[in-house]
Amino acid sequence: MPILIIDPGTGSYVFQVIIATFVAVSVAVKIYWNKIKGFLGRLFSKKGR
Amino acid sequence: MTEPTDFVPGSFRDPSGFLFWLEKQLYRQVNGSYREQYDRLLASGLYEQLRSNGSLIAHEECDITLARTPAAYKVIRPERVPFVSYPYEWCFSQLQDAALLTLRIQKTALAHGMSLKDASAYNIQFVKGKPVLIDTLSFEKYLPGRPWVAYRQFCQHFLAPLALMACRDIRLGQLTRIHLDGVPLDLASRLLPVKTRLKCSLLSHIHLHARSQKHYQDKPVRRSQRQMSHFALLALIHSLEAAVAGLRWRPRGSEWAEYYDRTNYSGQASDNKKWLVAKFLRQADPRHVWDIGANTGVFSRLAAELGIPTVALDIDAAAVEKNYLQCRREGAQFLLPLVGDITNPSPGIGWGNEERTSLLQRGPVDLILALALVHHLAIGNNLPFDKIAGLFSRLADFLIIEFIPKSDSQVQRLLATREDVFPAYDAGTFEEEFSRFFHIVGSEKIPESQRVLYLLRSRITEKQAEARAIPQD
Repeated sequence: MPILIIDPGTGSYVFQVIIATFVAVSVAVKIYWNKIKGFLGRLFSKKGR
Repeated sequence: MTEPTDFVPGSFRDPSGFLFWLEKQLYRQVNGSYREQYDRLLASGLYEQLRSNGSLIAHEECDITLARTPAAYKVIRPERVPFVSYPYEWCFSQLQDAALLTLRIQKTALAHGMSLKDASAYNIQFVKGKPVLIDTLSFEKYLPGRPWVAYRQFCQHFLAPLALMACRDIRLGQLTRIHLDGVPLDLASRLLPVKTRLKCSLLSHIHLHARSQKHYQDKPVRRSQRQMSHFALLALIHSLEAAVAGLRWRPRGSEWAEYYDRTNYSGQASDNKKWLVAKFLRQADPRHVWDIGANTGVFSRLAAELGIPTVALDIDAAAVEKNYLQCRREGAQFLLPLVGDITNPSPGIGWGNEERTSLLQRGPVDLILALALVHHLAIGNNLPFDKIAGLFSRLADFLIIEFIPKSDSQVQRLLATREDVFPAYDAGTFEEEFSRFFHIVGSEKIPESQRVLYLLRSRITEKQAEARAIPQD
C-alpha cells in the first residue's frame, strides 16, 4: 500500500468522488448522445436518398 | 556512510527520500521504503516517456556508497536546475503552464498504472524556458478505485490562485507566499467574485469543494468506502484541465508593460544603449545574469541571446506576463522572467525560514543589470546610493548600471508628485558612493540621451569571491 505523504483532506476526498462521478456521467452521456446523433443522422440521410 | 550534514532544507517532508549536496553536486537519496515505486516508475516506461518529452527532470543513478543514511535504496543525480523559482514569483501563464503540466503528467502516469501522490507547485521548476517536474519521487502505484490523493493540493496550489488572479486581482497570486500549502479554498471562495459561482468548473472545484471541506472538517470517514472508477478519475483530471485552461488573464493598462511605448528617448538612443550593454556584457563575460527591473526583458535578451542563463525580474506582473509569453513564442531557453520587488525581495519561508530560500540566498550572481532603475530606488523609494551600492556589491561581481540625471523626463515624472528632497541625486555623488563598493571598469554616455552607463566590479576580494562560488540550485 503506498504511503500517503500529504493529507488528502476528508472533505476533498469525499467531494472528488461526487464531482468525478457527476463529470464521468456527463462525459458518458455526451459520448452516447453523439453516437445516437450520429446514428440518427446516418439513418435519416439514408432515408432521404 | 557519512554524516547527513548537507540536506536540502526543502526536501524533508517526504519519507521516500531527500536531496543533499556533496562536493557541489546535488544528489537525491531514494529510501528503501520507496523501492517498489521507484522500480515501477522505471520498469513501466513512465520515467522514459516523461523524461523524453521534457516533463520530468532527467537523472542518472550513482554509486550507492554516496548514500547519507542506511535507509538508502538508490542515490540519483538529477539534472541541475539553473535557477530555482517559486510560484509566488511566477506570472499568471507560468503558474497556468505548471498546472497543466501537472495534470498531463497525472494522465500519463495513470496510463502507466501509476499516480501522482502530491501536486505541489514547488515540485515544478522552469528549465530551458519550460516547466518540468523535479520530484522524481512523486509517483505511486495506482490502486484501482482510489480517488486522487492530491486533488485538494492541486486545487490549493494551482486552481485557487489562478482563479483569484484571473477573476479578482492579479496581485492575489502573492497569497501563495503566505500559505505554504496553497491558498485555502474557503478563503479563495470568499475572495472570488459571485459570478464565478455561475462557472461550473469554479463552482465545483472551489466553491462546493470548500463547503465540503468545512462540512467534513471534524467528521471521520472511512476512506476505503469512498471509491471511484478509473474512468471517473480521468474525467476529474479532464475537468480540472478544462477549469485551468479556461482561465484567462490579459495584461492591460499597467504602468510598466507599456513603458517602452511611453518613453520619450529616441529609438536611436535605445539602440545605442543596447549596443553599450552588449559591449559591457561581452567585457564582463558572466556565467549568469540577473536583470533587475527588467520590464518586458528587452535588455535581458541581450544576455540570454549570448547563451547566458538570465533571470529577468520585475515588480509588474503584466510586464513579466508579456515577457514570458514572448519567451514561450520564441522558445527562449536562457531567459527566466520572474515577478519580484528588489526593494522587498522574496523572503525565506517555511520551517526555520529555510524551506523556500530568499531571493538573495539564491545569489550571488556573476552580473546584475540595473537599467533605468536607480532613480526608482533613490527617488521613488528613498534609498540612499550607499544602500543600493552595498546590496548590489554583495549580490554580484559585476554591475551594469545606468545613471539617469534629474533633468531626464522619467525622473521628472517621479518628482512631479512629490517634493524634491534629493539634493544629492547627481552623477558626482553617484560615482563617489558607488566607488566605495565598486571599481569603475568603464563608463560611457549613452549617445543622444543624458544618461550614463557604467560597468562596475565589486570590491570583494578574490578570497571572498571564491567562497561565494557556491553552485546555485
